[in-house]
This record gives sequence, C-alpha cells and structure tokens, in this order.
Amino acid sequence: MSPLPDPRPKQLSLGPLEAEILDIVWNLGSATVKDIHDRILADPERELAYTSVTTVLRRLTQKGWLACDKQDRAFQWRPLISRADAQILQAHDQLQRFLRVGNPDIVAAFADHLDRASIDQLEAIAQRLKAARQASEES
Amino acid sequence: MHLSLILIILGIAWGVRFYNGGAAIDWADRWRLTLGKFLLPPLLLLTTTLAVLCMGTQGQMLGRSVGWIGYSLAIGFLAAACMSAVWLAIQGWRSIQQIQTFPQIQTNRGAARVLSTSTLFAGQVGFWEPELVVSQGLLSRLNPAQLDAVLTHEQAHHYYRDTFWFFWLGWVRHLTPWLPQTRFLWQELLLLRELRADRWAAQSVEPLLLAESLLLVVQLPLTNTESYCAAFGSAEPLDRLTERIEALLAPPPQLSRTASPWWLLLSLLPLLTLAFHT
Repeated sequence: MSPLPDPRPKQLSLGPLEAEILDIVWNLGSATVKDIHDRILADPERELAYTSVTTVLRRLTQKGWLACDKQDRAFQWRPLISRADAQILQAHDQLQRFLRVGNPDIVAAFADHLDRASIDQLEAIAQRLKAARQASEES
Repeated sequence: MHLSLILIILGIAWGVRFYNGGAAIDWADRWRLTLGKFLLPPLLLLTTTLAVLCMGTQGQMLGRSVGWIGYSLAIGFLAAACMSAVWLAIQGWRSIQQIQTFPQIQTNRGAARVLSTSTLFAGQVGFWEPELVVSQGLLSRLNPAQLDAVLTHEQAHHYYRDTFWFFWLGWVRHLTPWLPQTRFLWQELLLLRELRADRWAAQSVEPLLLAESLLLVVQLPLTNTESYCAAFGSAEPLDRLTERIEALLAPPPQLSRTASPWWLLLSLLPLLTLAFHT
C-alpha cells in the first residue's frame, strides 16, 4: 500500500459551511476573510455575517485544514491539504468507518495493510510484471 | 493440583509455540505447521480448564488434593473465552447488518454489495455464507478483466469459507495474545489464506492478470490500515506483497488437499486427567 497523504487534518468531518469555505480557499489558492465573504454574498439570496466567516476559518485551522498567515496587516488563509489529497483521505475514511463497525476477522479482503510495500518495492514489482507481460505477448 | 496441571499445560503451550518443525516445503506443510502452532496451545488450555471445571474443588488427583486457585483460574479463562466469543459474534453480526444496507449489483461472479467510496476495496464479509462487498472505486477504476480477476480471488475466500474459519481463529487470537508468537503466526495464516485464494483464482484467470490487478489495487493510497484485519500494530514485514506476486508468477503448483488436522485430537489429552480424579 502506498502511504496516505501527509499532512492530514486532525478532524476530517466538515460541516456544510466549512466545506463551502474550504472549497473557496481551494479555488482561490489563498484568501482573506473579505475574499470569502464577497464570494458567498455574490449570491443575492445568501446572508452571512463577516464574523461567521472568521469563526469558520478559525475552526478549519483548528481542524488542521488551513493555515493563517499575516500579510500587510491582513490575515491570509491557505489550504494545508490539497483538494486531491482531501478526496483520498475522505475516501479512506469512509472505508475505515465501514470496517470499524464490526469484527475485522470476518472480512477477507483482496488486499489489505499487510500488502503494503515501499515505493522501491512497488516499482520493482511493476517492472517485473511489465517484463512478464511483454514476454507473454511475444510468445 | 489443578494449578500444577494448568502450569504444566502452559509450559507445553510455550514449547509448542517455539517448536521448530524445520523448513516447510510447500503451502500445505506451511499451513499445517503454522495452524498447529497457532491453534494447539490455546486448545490445550481450553480443554485443561474444562477438565478442571469438571473436577471441581473437591477430591484428590494422583494423591494430591485439588485446590481453588487453579479452579478459579479455569473459571476465569472459560468465562473470558465465552464472553469473547459472544462479543466477536455480535461485532460480526453488526458488520453483516451494515453491509445489508448497501445497494446490491450483479457481477459476472454473482451478487455484490457496493460500498460508496472511491478507494479500491473488495472483500467477502460474513460467516459461513459471506457476501461480496466491492467499492465504487474498484468498479470504476479496474477494467472488466482486472475486475473479474479480483472477484475470482474473492470467490476463493467463499469457496474455502475463510471468513467463517478465520472468525474462530480470530477468537483464539483474541483469547491468547499473551502467548508467544501469536501475532507472527496470525499474520502467517493470513498470508497463507491469501496465497491459497490467489492460487485458486489462478486456475480460472490468468495469474499475470491477477498479479497486475493486485499491484494496481495496492499502488493506490492505503486501502486499509492497521485498524482493520490483523489489528496488531504497524510493524509488519514489507514482503507479503512480493511473496504473493512471486507465487503468481511461478509455475502453478499442484493443488494438493490439506491433510485432515488429526493432531487437533491431541488437544483432548488433558481430558484424560479426569480419570485420575477421585
């Protein structure tokens, strides 16, 4: 198994507003509270206090999703985890939640953590299989 | 005398675990040796405690009076064994309840439950009649031939009733983690189980295709972590994958039937002590 992306957030679960704001930060690369607030209020049907955005950003920082930098007296928030890595982590978490529910001994999986291998080992195996495939196609 | 008996059996159990039966030549030898070393010590302990329970705290054995210390230990061990079995069965039942909420689809290899995650996962879940569970990610990332290879491997687990037998082996593991080599032997049994399933699948699908599918599944970030399956920490050796791949690329061995585990009868020997109790 290849390792999971690192760093990982302390808490994976996100509320709807947290997910929305994280999505905006991912789209912008990094953002101030004002950037995010403006984006959300671009929808005329939305209402959201400026302080609510700040609260959610702080919560996302505490959960390990964002980092906050101070630039020119303005706080700039940037993602610590890429969107792609987040998708991997969330998919992995879904599987773990399924497996945690019951007795793991009654699960016979095709591959599990005992099949993990180093990157070098995986590359060596891939080369070996490629050569075997070529040989089988030539014969 | 009960306590002495238990201590003698514990000594034998330790001895069995450290018994070096020589290098196992083929899968069947390796399976027999590993299963024997894993299973015999706990079974000896179980039958000994049962014998002690039957004898009670009154009377004599070989001229020595029986005491309550050994008797209490026996009761404690058997109570722990019963509670552990019930707890693990409830946990297993919860797994089954959970997968029954997943949508069902038909595959070339029978019905399967679909787990909604992009991670690659395929597994049999259950006891005697396990159900196949596959992830959405597996269905979308593998081509039909690769998927068929993976599902054939899973069919092998159903054929050998691996989930049922490993439920009981897992119970033994939970009961005796303090015995030496439990972790090593458990992981060896898991490896041998996978080698057998790979070998069975390789009778109907191309072994190289199965090896390629295995590599594909393993190459993606962690399908599972230590929290699942042999939950014994993270210091496992990194050569199991290589061994599975090597076995698939090697010329197919003869599928010899495993000899009946007659040696399990040895675990009944402690019951003979009942004859010496007066």
